[in-house]
Amino acid sequence: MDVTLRDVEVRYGRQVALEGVSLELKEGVWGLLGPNGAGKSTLMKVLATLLVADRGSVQVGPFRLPRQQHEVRRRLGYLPQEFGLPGNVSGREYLRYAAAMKGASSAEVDRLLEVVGLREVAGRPLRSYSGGMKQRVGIAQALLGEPDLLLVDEPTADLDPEQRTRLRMVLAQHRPGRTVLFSTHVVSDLEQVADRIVVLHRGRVRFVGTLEELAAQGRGWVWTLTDVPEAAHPVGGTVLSERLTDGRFVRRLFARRQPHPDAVAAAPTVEEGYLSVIARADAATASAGQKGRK
Amino acid sequence: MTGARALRGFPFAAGDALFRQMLAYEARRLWRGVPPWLFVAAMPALFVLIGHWQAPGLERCHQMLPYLSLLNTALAAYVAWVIQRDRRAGADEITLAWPVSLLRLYLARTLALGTLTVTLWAEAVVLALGYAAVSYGTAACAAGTPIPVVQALREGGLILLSLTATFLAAQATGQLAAAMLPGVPGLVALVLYRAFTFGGPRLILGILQWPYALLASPEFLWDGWPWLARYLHLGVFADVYVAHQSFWVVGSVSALGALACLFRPRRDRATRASAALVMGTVIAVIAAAAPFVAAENRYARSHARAVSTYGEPVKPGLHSGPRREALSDTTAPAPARYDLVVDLTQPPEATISATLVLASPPGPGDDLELTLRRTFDVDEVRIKGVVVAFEREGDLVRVPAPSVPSGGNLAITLRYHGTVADWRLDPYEQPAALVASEFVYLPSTWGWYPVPGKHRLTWEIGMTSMVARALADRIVLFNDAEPTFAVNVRAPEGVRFLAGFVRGAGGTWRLDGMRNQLTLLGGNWVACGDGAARFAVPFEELDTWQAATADVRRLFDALADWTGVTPLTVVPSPVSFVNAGDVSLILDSQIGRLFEAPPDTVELARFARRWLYNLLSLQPRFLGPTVSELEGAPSATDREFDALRAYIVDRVLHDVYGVDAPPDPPGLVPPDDARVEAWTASTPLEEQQAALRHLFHDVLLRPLTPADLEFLHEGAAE
Repeated sequence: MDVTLRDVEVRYGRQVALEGVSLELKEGVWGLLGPNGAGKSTLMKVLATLLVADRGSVQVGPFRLPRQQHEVRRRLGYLPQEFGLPGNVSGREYLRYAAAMKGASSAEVDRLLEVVGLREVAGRPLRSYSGGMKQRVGIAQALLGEPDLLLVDEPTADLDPEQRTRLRMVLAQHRPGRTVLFSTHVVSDLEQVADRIVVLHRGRVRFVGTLEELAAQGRGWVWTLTDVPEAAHPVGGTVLSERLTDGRFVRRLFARRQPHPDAVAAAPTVEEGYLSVIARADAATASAGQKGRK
Repeated sequence: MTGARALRGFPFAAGDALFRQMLAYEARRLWRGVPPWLFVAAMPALFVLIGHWQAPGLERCHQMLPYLSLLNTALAAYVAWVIQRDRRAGADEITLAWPVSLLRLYLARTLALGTLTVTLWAEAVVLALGYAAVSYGTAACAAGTPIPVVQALREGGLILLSLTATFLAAQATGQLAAAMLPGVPGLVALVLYRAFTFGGPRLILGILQWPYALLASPEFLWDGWPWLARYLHLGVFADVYVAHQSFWVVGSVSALGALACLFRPRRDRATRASAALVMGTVIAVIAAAAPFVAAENRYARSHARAVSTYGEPVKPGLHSGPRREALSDTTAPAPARYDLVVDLTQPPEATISATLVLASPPGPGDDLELTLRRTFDVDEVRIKGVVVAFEREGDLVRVPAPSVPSGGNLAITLRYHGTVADWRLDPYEQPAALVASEFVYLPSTWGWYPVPGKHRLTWEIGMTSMVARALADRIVLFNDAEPTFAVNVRAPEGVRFLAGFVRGAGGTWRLDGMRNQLTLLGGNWVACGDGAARFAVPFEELDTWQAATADVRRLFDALADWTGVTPLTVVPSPVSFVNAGDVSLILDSQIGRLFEAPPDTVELARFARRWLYNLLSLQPRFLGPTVSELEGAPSATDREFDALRAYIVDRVLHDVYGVDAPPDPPGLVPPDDARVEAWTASTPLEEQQAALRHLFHDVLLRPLTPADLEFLHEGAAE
């Protein structure tokens, strides 16, 4: 299900959460990246019909928001970043209730309990669940009803590595016609599953493209420096990593210009490409601010 | 569209499988908690522990209501906590993105909470109605009569209404609090609101009026907490009570409906139904308030009339304590004589010329103040035949007092006129004063003739009840003065009888004699009889009055022997009226009951006993200051006087019917009765009659003093 946003703006009082956001999300898994406070959750809530944009248009498939939000909800699976669950019902009861509300079957509840690894504890009241288990219940309810649009906001936060992997597998399962928007600030989660990436920063879209294209954004920003004592010559930039390779001390640096005469340009990773997008955006904002002051 | 189809179209149709699932899920969540079961257990415990087991059904229910309000405050707080727990916990973040109507969701939660409310209501109703049924059954069985079904149904209906209002209100206020102030502030606000509505509106505003009255919680009215009721005089009228309770029933249901519709409003298909329901809610709330608005309009009209009559609004105020001392001007010069010429031939106009003679007028330089109701326009004031300037201020006429030799008299003449059609501002709108074509009522306390001194003629009793603002006439106008009255009245044509007056030629009426104050009361009656009682007989009963009053005349003859007060003027049935003194006697006198009594001597004597006692209590000519409950406990003098009245009744009934009063149980005779018994036992009958005649003559229209009953103690001492 395609999702189209045109010039969307959301404000919380004077604070701008989203500004001029225009996006076209096609079928597939989309990663939504951005630092804390970038507007990811706000964008998710707009698409999940919990927030109405102050300006702009939002279209989900053939339906326009907020006018046809009930139609959108029929095709929606949503896992919020922060949520609660009723304590005095069991996991199975809760999911069956959710299934009834979303028009899904009990068999699907059992299947999803298996998928998220909760079948053994499904009869226990939710208040006895750990944080990770509750997160998996949330994921299961989002997947109920085979949604065409799946919105998952920071789904891996409370999960252990095994569960993370399992979740990524669930999300990566291709289903024709489904659009998945996976919001996170953990880039490695997306590298496994996302077809395309959207980077949000300070309420604006800073990048839309594939993982490779995102990584390419970091070209000219990443450098390696081998066996150079810091005292001999000042080294600029931000140290990304330091490691000993074949008896040599290799330092990986993030800098807009060559941080040291001996520094050599390196091939950037996706994460470094993301960092460069954010750095560029910050630089642009700072420059705009300076011009404004002048 | 058929009804069933229309119902299915509704977003929360009861037959809807999805809605049933939502309801079952929410109810399951609710009843898995401990608090609902505590509430369920508390209800019968409350019923068993609170209230008197011998009280009638409705009474018992009202005894329980104040304590039920505590339970319901807890219930409301629990409701507030439950209704917002999903929002508090963040569970709504998920639920709200599901394809369910929020109207349904909120309604399912409301109805789930409603299962608790209904369970508690059913417990209370079954217990209260069951108790009422047993109460009626045993009472009827003991009396050997059939159960008064209509009365029982009315009582049951009131119980049902009262409990429905109180439980629905608990849920509605809980959900409203949660909607307006989420979290702990909501709970605090709720408890404060319940506390405020318990006494706040009345305490702050003095008198509950629309719309403040509606804010009072349903348990607040109908006596509420006994001590609060006693101090704030919370007795309310049945119609106001029913209207208030109905408002809470309709208002609570409407509020819950409105909350369901307004719960996070959204622009989906349910919105149209929501809008319709919200509008319906507004209309229902307005409709529910209609009885209050009507009642308030009624009093507003009365108030407007008061403004037009008195020239200024009567301010509400709290009146408490004895009234007489507070309202009489004890420093005023005493009048020695009145010459009144009253022309009432153009009803409702009264044109009066009053000459009063003051025995001890104020000194030169001082103003002489006379109280005359502001209804009257004063045309002229003369002193010693000379026209003098005067000032009119409210109910006062102020004239400069001329120099008068010491010990000399001062004669002042006032000519004045005005329209007399004044009504008391109580719910029953009794006439305060009236001049009509067939009826004249001008009580002395209304101020229709000038009285020396500054007297307050009316005041408003604040805080008497929820909406009643009765204008109460003062009781004593002249203190102890007993001037001579010479009165000529030209009455309206239709007035055939004027109490206490003698008819003269040309439609004039004449009265001469000493008295404390003068009330004009007349109507389309004819004076008949020449014994101890003179009867003012309604025109249409002239053919039957003799037969109808035969027994009463015997009673009056005997009564006159014992009290010396004669003649008494009586209007026989159907007008219950005894000897013109106060309009309240018309309403309160029990004389009509005597005429309805069966013609069996014993039964008649039984009725007569009560009738005579009431007559002696109400009749101003037998005035003994019966102290109302509001003014404190009766004094020893009052109690002794009561015992004397009871003794007179016994003697009269013995003389007329030969019936003796049943003896008091041994050891249970009150000391005052014992004193009277001692006196009667040691005093010959003739001496008793003489003492009592003297007593009734002396206490005529003035407060009773301990000295008046000194003879009882002398007799006891001997």
